[in-house]
Amino acid sequence: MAKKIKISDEAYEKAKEIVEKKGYSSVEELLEHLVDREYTEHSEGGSEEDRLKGLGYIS
Amino acid sequence: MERYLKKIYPLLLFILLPIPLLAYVGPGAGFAFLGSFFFVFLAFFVAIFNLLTLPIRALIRGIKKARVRRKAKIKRLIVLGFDGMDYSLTKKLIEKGELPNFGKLAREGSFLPLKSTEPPLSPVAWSTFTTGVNPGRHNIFDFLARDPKTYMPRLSSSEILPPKRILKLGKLEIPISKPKIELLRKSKAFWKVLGNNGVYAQVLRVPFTFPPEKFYGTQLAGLGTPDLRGTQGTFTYFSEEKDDVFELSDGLCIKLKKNDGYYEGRIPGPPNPFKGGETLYKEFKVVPLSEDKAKIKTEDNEMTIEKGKLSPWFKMDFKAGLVKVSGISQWYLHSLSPVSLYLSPINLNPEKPAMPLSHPAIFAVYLAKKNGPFATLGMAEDTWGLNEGVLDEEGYIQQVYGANREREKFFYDALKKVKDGAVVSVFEYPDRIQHMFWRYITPDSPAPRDSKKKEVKEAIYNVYRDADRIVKETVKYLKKGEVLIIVSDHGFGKFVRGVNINEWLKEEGYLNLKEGKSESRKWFADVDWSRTKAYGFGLAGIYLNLKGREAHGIVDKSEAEALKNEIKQKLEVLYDEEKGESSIKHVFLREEIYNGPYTKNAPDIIVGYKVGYRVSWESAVGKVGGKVFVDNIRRWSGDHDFTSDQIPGIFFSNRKVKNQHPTLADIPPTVYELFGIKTPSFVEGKNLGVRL
Repeated sequence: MAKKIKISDEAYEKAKEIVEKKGYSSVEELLEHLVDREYTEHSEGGSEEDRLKGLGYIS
Repeated sequence: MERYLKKIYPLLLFILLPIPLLAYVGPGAGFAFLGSFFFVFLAFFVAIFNLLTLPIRALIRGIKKARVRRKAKIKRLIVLGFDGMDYSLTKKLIEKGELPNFGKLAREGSFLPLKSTEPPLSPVAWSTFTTGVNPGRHNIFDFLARDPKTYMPRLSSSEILPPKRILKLGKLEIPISKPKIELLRKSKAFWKVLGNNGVYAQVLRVPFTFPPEKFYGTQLAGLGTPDLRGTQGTFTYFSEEKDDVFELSDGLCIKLKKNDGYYEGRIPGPPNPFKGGETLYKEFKVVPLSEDKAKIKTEDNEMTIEKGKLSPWFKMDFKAGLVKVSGISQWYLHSLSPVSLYLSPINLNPEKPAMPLSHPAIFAVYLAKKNGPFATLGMAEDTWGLNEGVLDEEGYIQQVYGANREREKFFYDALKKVKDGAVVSVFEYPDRIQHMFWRYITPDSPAPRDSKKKEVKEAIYNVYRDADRIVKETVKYLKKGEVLIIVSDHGFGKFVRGVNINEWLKEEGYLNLKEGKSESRKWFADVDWSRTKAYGFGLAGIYLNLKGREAHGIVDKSEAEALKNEIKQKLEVLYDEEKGESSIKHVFLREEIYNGPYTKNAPDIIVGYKVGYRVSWESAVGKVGGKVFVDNIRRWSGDHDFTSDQIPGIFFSNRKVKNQHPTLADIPPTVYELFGIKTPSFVEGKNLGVRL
């Protein structure tokens, strides 16, 4: 379930500018991307090799 | 009375059926079963809340709808997709009079080549169709994405993570939090924008819509949906002759035990999350009834199967303690002397889906209750079963058409029910047939083509004829003023030579192996990263081993541009001496073709092969070794991993369009225009100007 967060008007205006400039579809998408980027930096790497089984294009 | 009950039956199902528990989440992930009581209470309160707020929501929706209706140019739009339908082949067959219904649309409306994405691969292309943006804005660049920390692969379109909190009781591991299933495609689907503006849509089997998203409408997930084992489809082959158990490409071969008058075997199912992910099994018996018939028996189900005929869906529950995970599968009996039979990948049972298959979740249950069990696996057509010879060509064709017939029912049902809004449905069977049977229309294919059967030799033409039949049926539902748009995501061509890009990078000195190694196993197991500057990944990409990005990167940012250009120049003249042909049409640097916030996730270099050439099977999984050019001897003999200009897709409409050079990105803005919705600023495609 999606959660709501509050940001200042100033930050929101900046976010809207970035959305337009970079080609995000919404402020929500921008914020999620920023969080993902930070999260990825701290997370351990992994592999999903098993999930790829059956994908016809590779073997 | 009976007629009346039939009409209200689907509605009753919607209201009365419980929301299925999301129990299973993939290999090693776990069952989120303990929340069942909590979810019952939650569902109850949500239902009460929804009931109380229904009039208010209906009023808001009514106001939105009225506003849209005032601006909308049409009442209903039908978007029909045929994965992989090739423009040139379609044109040729229309000219020969073999596709009368496509031909009629071409004469009275529009028929144009449709430009795909670079690379023209289904996940990339359908994501652009869905959003109207280039891959740099939707984040899908290939089937695979790589983890720069491990150089290992993952699916580009979705991520399934196990529950974070697990209670350990002795040997038991009980998940106490929910698993995470995330769609990795970014930007916004056009049906979501339609919904935000009060336009209802039913979206069926559009590739790479797993997990399904919430919006004002209904959706059944397509390509990318896993099987019960959490893979993209793992078949099982049972035989009384083979060794005990061994692995084939994307499948398992298991020996049957002979008894007095019957055979015994075990079906490997999903992992048991309570016991460290060890495989759950289902015991079964094969009882021969005659030379070509046998009975399959499990503790809770039985079915008679016939030699050479793909069976109906066979339900099987796998028990992990008190929890049952439900799957469906199909049998194909090859022989009873000796006994050998194929079992398709175990699909999630849509009546009791262990993972989200649809939005709302009950929609898949409704479809199953109304139409019977159906294929839910993203790639339900078992290309590897055919490649490995455990499913013969006739069996494969039965499987492809069987799944398609199920989807046709859903589509016509949607056309009957959705009077107002959009119906979007994609049929993938042209792609599956062309991949596996292109060898029969390619004189220089080194792949086996020994069948004398007309249905096999003509499989490609037949699938185009069958698509024409679907068009004929669809047009019957079109009412005055409605618009029909038909698209494919890319065309097709022959795949006769594989290019081992990783071996080429090694020979050119960009990739080096560990001391003493002349070859590397899968996923770069023997690559020496401290001496590697670039590596090929997935079907079309090359990444630099960049400092600060890759875990063991050695290429400094200051030298990256020069290195990319050097590789590009060399690849563009890569020549196949044995065949006397060039192999690559164009090499793209990512910044030349992508823009947007996710461009940094794209490969640094995208290889655009010439028709006939594709990345080799070995290179696609990170193997290094052998020759750079190899014959493709597999039945998978058609492909579309070339530059998009060589294999345009199709665009048809029952209306004329102003723009005569459509691209996949143009579909969403065209849809918005038809419904009188302002195209959002992030969308890059242009309205095609449908003439009404």
